[in-house]
Amino acid sequence: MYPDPRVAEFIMRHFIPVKIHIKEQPGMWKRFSVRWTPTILVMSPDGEEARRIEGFLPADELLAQLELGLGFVAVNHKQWKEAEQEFRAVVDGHPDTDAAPEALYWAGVSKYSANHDAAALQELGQAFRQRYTDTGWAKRASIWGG
Amino acid sequence: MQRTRHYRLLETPGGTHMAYATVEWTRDVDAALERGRQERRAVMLDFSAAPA
Repeated sequence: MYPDPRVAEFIMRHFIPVKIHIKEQPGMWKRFSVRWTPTILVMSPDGEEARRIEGFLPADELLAQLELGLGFVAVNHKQWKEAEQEFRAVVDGHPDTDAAPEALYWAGVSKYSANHDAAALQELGQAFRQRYTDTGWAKRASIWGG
Repeated sequence: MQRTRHYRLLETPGGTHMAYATVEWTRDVDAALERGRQERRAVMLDFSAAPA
């Protein structure tokens, strides 16, 4: 159940949603290596897992994670411009969520991957010196833009 | 498939439009994955142990 209508709206607009209950379809749990509930898997159109979301999240965090998942769907297909847009939408739309620094990191990686311009990674390193400085994603980006 | 779709009016800068207020779930994983492949849409698998 997603009582927040923003979540329902986002799911219906962007996904084909499937509900799998442990008692109804126990085989699916093993097939997708699910180890806890709730678990959400964002699957690419080709059936590849793009994002795994484990445990309850408040609506804003869940929305950010689902949008992050769409970014990784684009990454899986090497659609770098679309991926960067999805990740930047997480940062801009959900800047205070746990997903935001991860999205900022991957936005920079996607920008770099589009044309292998090292300036994108330098920008990314500098961006993490200004925000989300205490996160693990800032540590990952600390190698750039020094 | 559950047919419990409800709508609400969503106010946006671009005007008012109908928006989904509930999720219309399917239970058939393989059918959903095949539909996702054909329509080039992402699929969301929601695993739950909560009472229906």
